[in-house]
Amino acid sequence: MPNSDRHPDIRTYPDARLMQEIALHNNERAFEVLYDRYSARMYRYFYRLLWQNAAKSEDFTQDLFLKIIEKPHLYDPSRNFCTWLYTLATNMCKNEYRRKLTLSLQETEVQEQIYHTFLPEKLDQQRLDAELREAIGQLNEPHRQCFVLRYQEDCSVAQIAEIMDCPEGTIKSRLHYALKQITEKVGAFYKA
Amino acid sequence: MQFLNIEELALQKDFDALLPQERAQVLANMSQTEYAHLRALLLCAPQLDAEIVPPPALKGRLMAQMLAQKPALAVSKRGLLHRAVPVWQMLLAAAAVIPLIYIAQGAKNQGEVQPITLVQTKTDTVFQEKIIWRDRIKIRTRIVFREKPNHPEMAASDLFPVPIAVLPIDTTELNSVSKGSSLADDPALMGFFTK
Repeated sequence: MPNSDRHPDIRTYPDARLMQEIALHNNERAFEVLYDRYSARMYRYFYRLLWQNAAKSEDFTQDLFLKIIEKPHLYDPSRNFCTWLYTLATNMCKNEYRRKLTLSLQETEVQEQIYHTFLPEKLDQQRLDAELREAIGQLNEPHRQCFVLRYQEDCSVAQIAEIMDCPEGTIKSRLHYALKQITEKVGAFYKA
Repeated sequence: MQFLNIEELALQKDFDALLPQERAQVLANMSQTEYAHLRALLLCAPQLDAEIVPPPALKGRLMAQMLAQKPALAVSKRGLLHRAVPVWQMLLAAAAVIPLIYIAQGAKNQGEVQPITLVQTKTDTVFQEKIIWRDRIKIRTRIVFREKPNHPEMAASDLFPVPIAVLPIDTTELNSVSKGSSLADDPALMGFFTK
């Protein structure tokens, strides 16, 4: 029997199997594979939800993966790992929103000023990006989370409902509202 | 929800590429310009901050944490299993060595004269107990010593020659009551008060 058959490449393991390896054997290779699969995605998710704050996004990504290291048994193998990871990340963001309820508004205002001050006038795409960031940032937290998960993280409505622990109807309603708000902003941008 | 159906269309097709039915559905909810804006938004959103990646140092920190988390038992087990000599070979070698040790010990025991320790009990004295009964036993008491005083002539009456009750006690002073002086009898005293 060839060696590769006896020891299949751990990179091909599904997420749940990797989590099992971590929980039972503290397999650092399994953790590395999971990190490579999801770290960029989760870092970007935090970056989008935490006011484009790179330092905070790094801290949150670290904390998220530390949870996997320290408490892998919390993962229920019957659940989709990606959805579970997004659920953890979303809850961390909710806690951060609660903690920085007043500060978040100030940071949004500061970033708004930065975009308007330093944007290169001639680059329409960059201006559109900035406008879009601003419009997303102006949404309230549940609507922003729904928008980011659906249109930036490419999650399905059912997944978002599980992540945010809401009925699918509520998620659809929030998405509708968020899209309407942002489209109006983008429309105003194009008119200008 | 109508808007979400249109969203799916906007993700896939430009307004000009829509079928007549789809176009009618879109125009029932929004203008062509709004559809174009929605499409621009939906196509732009995933690209926003897409180039952002976590710093490489983060992976190093987490891997170090993962290794630190590994219990000592798991580390030793891993070390044992990942040696150059496989475990089954080590077990086989151990199984071969153990009989050799027994054989070597047996040979060593044959070469030496083992001292034999015998315990012998010797009897040099025999006690024979014999109970002798005596029929008549008489118990007699006899005073063999009696303590006498050193000065036999000094009796207890010599210590107290007179009985205590007979001693004469003068009790006149005890019974007398001091009455003091009258002002009439003592003019000086009267003068002290009348001055």
